Amino acid sequence: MSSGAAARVGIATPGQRIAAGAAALFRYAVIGFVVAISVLPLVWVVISSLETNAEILSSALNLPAAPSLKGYATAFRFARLDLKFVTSLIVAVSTTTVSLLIYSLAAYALSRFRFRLRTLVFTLLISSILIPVNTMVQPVYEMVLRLGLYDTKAALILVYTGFSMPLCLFVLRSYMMHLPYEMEESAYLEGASVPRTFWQIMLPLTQPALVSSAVLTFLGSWNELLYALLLTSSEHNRTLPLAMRYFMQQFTFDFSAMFAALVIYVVPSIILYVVLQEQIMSGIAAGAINE
Amino acid sequence: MQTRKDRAAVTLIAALAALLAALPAFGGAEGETAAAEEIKIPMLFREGGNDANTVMYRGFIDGFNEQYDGQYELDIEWVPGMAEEIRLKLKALNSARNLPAVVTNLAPEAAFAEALMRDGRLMDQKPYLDADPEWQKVVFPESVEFNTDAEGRMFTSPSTGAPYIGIYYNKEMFAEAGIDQFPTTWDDFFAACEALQAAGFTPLSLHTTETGWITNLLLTTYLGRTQEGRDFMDIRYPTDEFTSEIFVDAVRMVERLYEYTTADAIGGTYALAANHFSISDTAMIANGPWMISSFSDTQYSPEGFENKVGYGRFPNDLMISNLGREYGRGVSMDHDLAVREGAVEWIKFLASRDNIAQQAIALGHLTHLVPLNDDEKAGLGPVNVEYFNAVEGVKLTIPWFQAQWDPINQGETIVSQLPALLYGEITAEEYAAKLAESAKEYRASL
Amino acid sequence: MIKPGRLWIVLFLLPALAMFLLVYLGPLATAVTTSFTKWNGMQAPRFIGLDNYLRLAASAKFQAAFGNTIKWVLAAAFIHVPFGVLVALVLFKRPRGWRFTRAVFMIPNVLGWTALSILFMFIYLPDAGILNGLIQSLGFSDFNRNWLYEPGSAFTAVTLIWLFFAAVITLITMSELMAIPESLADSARIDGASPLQIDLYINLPIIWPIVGTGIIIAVTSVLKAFEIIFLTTGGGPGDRTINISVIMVNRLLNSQEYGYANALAVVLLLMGMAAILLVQWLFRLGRGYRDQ
Repeated sequence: MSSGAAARVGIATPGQRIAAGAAALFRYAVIGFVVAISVLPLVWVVISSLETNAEILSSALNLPAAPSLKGYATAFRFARLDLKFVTSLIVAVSTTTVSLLIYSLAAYALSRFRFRLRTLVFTLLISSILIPVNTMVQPVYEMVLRLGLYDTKAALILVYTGFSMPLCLFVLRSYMMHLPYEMEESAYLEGASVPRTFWQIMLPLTQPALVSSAVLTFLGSWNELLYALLLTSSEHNRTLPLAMRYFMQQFTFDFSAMFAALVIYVVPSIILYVVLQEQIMSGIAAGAINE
Repeated sequence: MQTRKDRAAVTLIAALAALLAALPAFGGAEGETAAAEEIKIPMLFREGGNDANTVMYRGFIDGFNEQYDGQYELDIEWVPGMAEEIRLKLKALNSARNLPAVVTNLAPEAAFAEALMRDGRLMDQKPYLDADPEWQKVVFPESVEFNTDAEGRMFTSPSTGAPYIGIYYNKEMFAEAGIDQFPTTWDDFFAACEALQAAGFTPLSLHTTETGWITNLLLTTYLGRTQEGRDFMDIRYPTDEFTSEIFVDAVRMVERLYEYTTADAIGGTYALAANHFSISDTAMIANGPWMISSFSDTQYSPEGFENKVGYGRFPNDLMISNLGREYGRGVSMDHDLAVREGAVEWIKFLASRDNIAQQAIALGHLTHLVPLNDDEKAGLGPVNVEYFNAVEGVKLTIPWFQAQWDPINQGETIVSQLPALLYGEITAEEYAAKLAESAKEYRASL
Repeated sequence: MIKPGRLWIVLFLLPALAMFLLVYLGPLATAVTTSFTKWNGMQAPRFIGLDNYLRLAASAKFQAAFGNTIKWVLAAAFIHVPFGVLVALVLFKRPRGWRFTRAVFMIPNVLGWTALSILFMFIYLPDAGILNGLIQSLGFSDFNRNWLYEPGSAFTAVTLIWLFFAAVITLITMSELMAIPESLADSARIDGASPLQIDLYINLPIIWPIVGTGIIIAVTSVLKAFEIIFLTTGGGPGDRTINISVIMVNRLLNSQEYGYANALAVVLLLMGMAAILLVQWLFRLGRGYRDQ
């Protein structure tokens, strides 16, 4: 405890400096580990995509003897990625917007309103996190067919919005639960209505949770495969993961084309993700300031 | 007290809720009828890019639409991915009573096919076959028999050609190992493996995942060397038969095979095994004629590889073929008679003389009923010639295990238990017992 | 707590409830009711009481799957989530490169489980895989392990495909950390608290509820996980890497036993419910700002 006393008078003891050094070292070890496990597989994919099949299967660590873009040429020849990219974007952005809107409303009610069935409603809604999506194929398919939404982007948006419910509710509600009441209370005292308070006070405060919900919802619908396959049939409603699936089977023998396809698929997604995360953040922040 | 903005918010929420709640009311908007002129025939097709199968069928589809211009138009949904995706989608479409007019991919889904027939979901094609002598001439009689039920109804179309499975081998490696003739007995086969290994080659491409395809081709052809084993292969969904001494013996042979393969064979995929052969890592791979086009495609194999590839029969001049004893294409009852008749026209179109010949050349679906003409024969590639010659000399056939064994064994038991066997966790007897147990589980589920 | 008019309660909850009705209620009701039937998804279900449940309880494969599922749930709660929280605490100090790290940590999630599983199959490959290659380059030139299929390493190899990819946990934890008023940490620093002490005694207690939420998210996703196993080991060798979800998917795909599969779904549902209630109780998730 003597070091604590020393700090209070503004002198760093040697022990403290060692501790700070160790802490910094630990921080960079963690960062190094995270970057390594996230980036190395991708780097390896990129290298493999430049190798021939024989090189991929014979050497683990060697670089390609003569880097070749043949894999990319092959992958591009069959790709109709532009259309699918746009469809995926429309579906994912719409899903994210609708999800944030309806689940922040529900999260507000479930975290702040006092009413009799509150626990029951919450338990019911979050029980959806336990229902495995792949056992829901038939009922969901029939629902979409009944609504006349088969082979529409609306069907995908509807279903993905449903799928994002548990995560969004969990994150938003848990965040709202421990926001302070003061600002809301003064708003109500000044005569603001419930939606106005929600829109102008609560949502801006919830910004960080909205961002993470948006990212999770976006990624969830961006990567979904099974329902995209089942609920659409025409080319303009197919999403990007289906192209990936096509690559996977088409190039199962041609490993370099398969890895090239993986790069083609994942690099725009990563760029999009980075750009969008910034967009969402500044968008929500701007919305908060404008009000 | 409420501002305009509040009212806007209320309206927005209410509208949203109303929209969601009212969605079911739009039911029935679906299913607009197409223009009356051409009858649309809906069908699912696997999008396979430039593989031999897709290229050939694209030609057929264009040819059909041209020939029946103004009358029929195939309405194809191109399904990306594997045949599994088509089957998954078929099942969902079936539960919604909305099957495509032509129902494909039924051969590997016998249980599904039988359920469709039982539930009256498919149309009887027998009257159409009876009315068309040209069609009768080209279909396999065995296949007609297989596709016809006890009451004489034919819910799925008969085959007009059948692929034969043998063993591809690398002629250069065989020559270097001093083997001048492809082995004709199992003793010679293992002697060849020893010789190849001594010459520094890995003799066999094998794998354990995806039904253990190549491994089980060798296992079942080993069974096929005796009459008892061939009888076993004629049983549909064997159960306790798996524990018989002949089967356990064949399992022990499989353990021996793995002494002659690559390090990644256990847990390996079919693609990995195929690649090892195509880049000359291994000397032999058991497989069917659909692989031929990949040997001359530089996307898969090095330039000129097709000249190194020979095609042999399994020991005892045996090859694997169902000879058309599998479910063909169905015509779904979910459509009007006019559409169903268009679907039958498509099935018959595939059975025309030229199209049968093309399936023989491109896919190796051979038939003695429609011989190739000299021009067609002259145009065959080197591996096709090897394949045709191998089939000429076939003395015994057994059906593929994929048509005979139950889906539980194929889909889960083999992939998980075969590595356990090969790593010595379980014995050959225990492995056989696991297969029997899964087979019984499947029987009980029916 | 606010006690608004009934209209507002209804209006705020209605869209979410409508979503639940449309997307989840049907499947939930079907799963529970048909778990007491023999049903192949096509013909009418036949009531067989508790047979499906008795059958699965007696099945050796189910017992192995149950054991593995529990192990994976524990790994999710005690390694996956703490690791994600640790990364969030580290990145929150904004060390150099934190934005980059936060972005790249998402790459595996962008890839998705399907692509990731195929990737790891290549990483683990004997001969050509990068893992064996790295070990060989360290001087163990004879080393060549079939990581995913040798009985000794299969379980660990499958677990490591997902164990440290905790970007979702990091993301939600970071958003929570951002909400902590800076003044709290500042005054603690003036009082001489070390960064570790600030994390342990100020930040962690505040973000505790989100750790609980993270555990619920991670555990339920492990309960439902099947792609990784399905695309790599298929549950083998033997039953070493099987879990309940894989059995369930297999029953749907290979034998059309919808009733039995739904009994497994109900087991997963109950396990998940138990986990949620336990976590809520341990982390006092149900309480709001004022109640703490």
